[in-house]
Amino acid sequence: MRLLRRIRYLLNRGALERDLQDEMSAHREMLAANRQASFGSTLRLREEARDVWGFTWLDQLRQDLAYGARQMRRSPGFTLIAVMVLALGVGLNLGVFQIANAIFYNRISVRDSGVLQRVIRQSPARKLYAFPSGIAGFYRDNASQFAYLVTEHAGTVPVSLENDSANVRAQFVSGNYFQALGVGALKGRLLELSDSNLGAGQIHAVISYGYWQRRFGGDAGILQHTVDVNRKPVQVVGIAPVDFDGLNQNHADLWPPEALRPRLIEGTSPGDEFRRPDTALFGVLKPGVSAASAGDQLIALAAEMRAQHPNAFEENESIRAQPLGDDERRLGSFVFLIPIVLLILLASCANLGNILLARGLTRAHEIEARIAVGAGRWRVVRQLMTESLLLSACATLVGLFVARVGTRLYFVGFSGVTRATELRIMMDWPIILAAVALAMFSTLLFGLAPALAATRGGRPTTGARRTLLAIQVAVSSVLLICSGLLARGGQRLTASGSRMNFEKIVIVEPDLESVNLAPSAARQALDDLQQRLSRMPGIAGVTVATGAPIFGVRVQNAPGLPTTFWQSVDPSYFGLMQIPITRGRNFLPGEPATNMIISESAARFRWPKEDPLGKQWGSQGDGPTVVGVVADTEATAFRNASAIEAYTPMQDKNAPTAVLIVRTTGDPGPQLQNMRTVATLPGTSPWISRLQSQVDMWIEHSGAATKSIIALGGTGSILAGIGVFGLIAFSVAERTREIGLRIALGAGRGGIVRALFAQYAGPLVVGCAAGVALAFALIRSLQSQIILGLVTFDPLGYLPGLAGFLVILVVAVLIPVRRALRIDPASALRWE
Amino acid sequence: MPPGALSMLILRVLQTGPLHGYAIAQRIHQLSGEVLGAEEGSLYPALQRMLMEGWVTGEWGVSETKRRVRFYSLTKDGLKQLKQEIAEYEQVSAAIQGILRTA
Repeated sequence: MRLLRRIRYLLNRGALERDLQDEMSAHREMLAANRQASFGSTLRLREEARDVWGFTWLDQLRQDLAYGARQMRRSPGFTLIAVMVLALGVGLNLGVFQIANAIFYNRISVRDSGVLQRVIRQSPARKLYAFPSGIAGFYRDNASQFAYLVTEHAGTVPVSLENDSANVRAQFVSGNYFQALGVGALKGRLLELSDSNLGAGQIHAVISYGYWQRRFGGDAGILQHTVDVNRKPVQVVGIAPVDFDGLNQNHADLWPPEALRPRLIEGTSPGDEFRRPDTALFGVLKPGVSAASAGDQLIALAAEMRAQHPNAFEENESIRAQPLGDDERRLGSFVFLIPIVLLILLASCANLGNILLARGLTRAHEIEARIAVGAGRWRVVRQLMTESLLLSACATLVGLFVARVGTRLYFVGFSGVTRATELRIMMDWPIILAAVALAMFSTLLFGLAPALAATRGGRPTTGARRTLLAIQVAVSSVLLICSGLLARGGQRLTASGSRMNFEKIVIVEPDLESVNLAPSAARQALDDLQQRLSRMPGIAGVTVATGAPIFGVRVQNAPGLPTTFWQSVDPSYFGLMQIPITRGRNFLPGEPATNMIISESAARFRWPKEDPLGKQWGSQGDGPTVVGVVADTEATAFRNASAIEAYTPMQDKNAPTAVLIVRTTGDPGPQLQNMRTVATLPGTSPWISRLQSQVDMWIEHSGAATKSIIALGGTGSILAGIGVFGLIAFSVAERTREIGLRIALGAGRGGIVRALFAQYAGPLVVGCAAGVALAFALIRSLQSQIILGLVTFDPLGYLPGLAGFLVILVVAVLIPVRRALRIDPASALRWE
Repeated sequence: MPPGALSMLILRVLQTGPLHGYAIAQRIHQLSGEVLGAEEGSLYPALQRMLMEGWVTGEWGVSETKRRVRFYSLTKDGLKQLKQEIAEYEQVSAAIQGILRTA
């Protein structure tokens, strides 16, 4: 009630004022002439009444804003610098926030993305996100607690499209998929239920926007005729929207209906749909249904299925639905940007704080006058804070613009244009909210200390200034060190990338898992494929290993050992990959699993002074015996500089998941299509890739982050450098009179320079030390996220950063000092 | 006048019926034997606060001297407030008198 009255008062304040005035003057008229004085001051009483109404603060805010705006207009130079400095800090933060927001929340662009549930299987051993397609289909058609359920292939199936030598990613989806998710076509139409029951030989599919652009140049004519997919005619019925990337976001190129999978993939055997867990299940609960009751129904359905297909389930397997948003997602190397931009904001705030402190000194007269005529200290502080708020509001507006330009630059400049279509960058309310929060936060950060200092009265102390200086020094040394280190890492990486010759290496993943072979039969199939591939023209050699070099190794973090990259290989591996054997011998055919080969770095780490040959790898004198030592590979440069490598002989039990590594004599490009044909067995869809393109992707991906950090680091250091420069210049200028006096009294110039340096020695040393410690901690804690070529203990990486910073400092002190020293003592004494 | 006493006095004076500002001041002045009433104007901020709290309502009318004035009347909430304030006042006053007498 009181609130309502207050609001009504606020709206009718003009009438209220008049009423009160009328009332008071009526009272005065009625008073006898000799008692007039007993009424009191009408003006003060009206003000008191207004206080009761509770909009004094509003009036004052209006006054403060008007006054602040006048102040800004009066010194446009100051305003411009302050706004730009802060806009940069706020803008970079907003940009990073936007990208993080896009990565985290905005990527799944379907109607119900907020309430979408993922159905998962949980056994005591692990969490599984995929079901055999037949079982997922049964749940989809029978779980009545869901408004709808859709299925989507958990990964993608490589198919060949006409004469395209690259793999095309097909993702099979349920017939109701697009309609239930509420996705509309960009062109043509998307799949409907009827597309699952087409006449013999007919296949319809939807293609992604990205693939349409890449492969067909955005030509809508594609919808008029069929294309060859795995040598079957497929009618493309429509193009998916730009931002649609499925629910698993596997960058699929082609979406055919699940029901037509056997038509498209040759040799799909009838029982497969209850064997191979390859289908993900998503849905939306009916209104009012709890996740628990939906889970109960799923458990009942699962029991029914388990009775019919016991092999499709793991032991003690359970099933439940969880919100899609709960999936673990990785920001990856992007995480490194967040502390960096926060540091930049801190630097901008410290910078601005300094500017405001300096301005507080020049406005000391004005503030003293205001306090002298009766303004309370808090009233003045509030007025100064309002000015800061005005500044930060302007800066936030500019910052929004900076963020827009910045994110665009990030995508176009650093990560290739194609990636920009994968992320939706939007200006929506979380961004606006974040902008407002940042503006408020930075206002407090940069405005409060100067406002307090300015109103304290008396001679200003240098405490706040020295603290701000230390902060700026710390921030800019962190930024310089990080970017210096990363620049060096990037350099190392490019160097090692060109040293390696991966151009002629092709990885063939034969997909033997799809046909459920026994280990020995799988090994037989591998040998067969090896034979067939090596008989192709232009092939220098073929070998078998458990995974592709660098990217397919098994990573183990055992206590007491550095990160270890394990791989099981055939004897021909080292020759084909051109890894020299430096001691001992290669594996022999039929090498027992009790023998192993280690890399030089592993030998150095494990037995620094002894001969590793004949030693056992386990720390208890157990484990496999070392029979040979090979050179380190580039995997270390790419993934983890301190890692070591170990090899065991290829075993039959690893055969179903093994890969073939092919070295060609010339450019493998034209061969890829033939290799796929040769490597395809009934029921398999092999994945063919060039090792070099994986390397390139890796470099590009990590390089984007590295480049942006270097760019941000550079920006931040320049910002901090300017701040430090301005601060020192200002305080030296302030002491011009004192310097003149000292010179007039006969002080030596060297002594004065020393005295000025001494004043800043404390904050500089403290700031530098804090900066180095912080940079070290930052790199250590984030190293696992951004492994690329980063070396923690690289003094050369630190040095350029530190040296650059020292140069800024010396210049910042010397220039104003030189100016002060050149001044004629007589005029310096009159300096005001 | 002790702080808070003014609003109690206003409420008490209004208990007998609606009055305009000048009349309230006069009443307090007379009933107190011309002791109270130092700054009559301070009546108005106090009345504004009471309007805001909902203890009194105001209605425009014409005074005996044909001036347009606002008549204030006590509300139910105001009556409750008055009783509470009197009770509190009497308690404090009794305690103070006790001390003055015996200490």
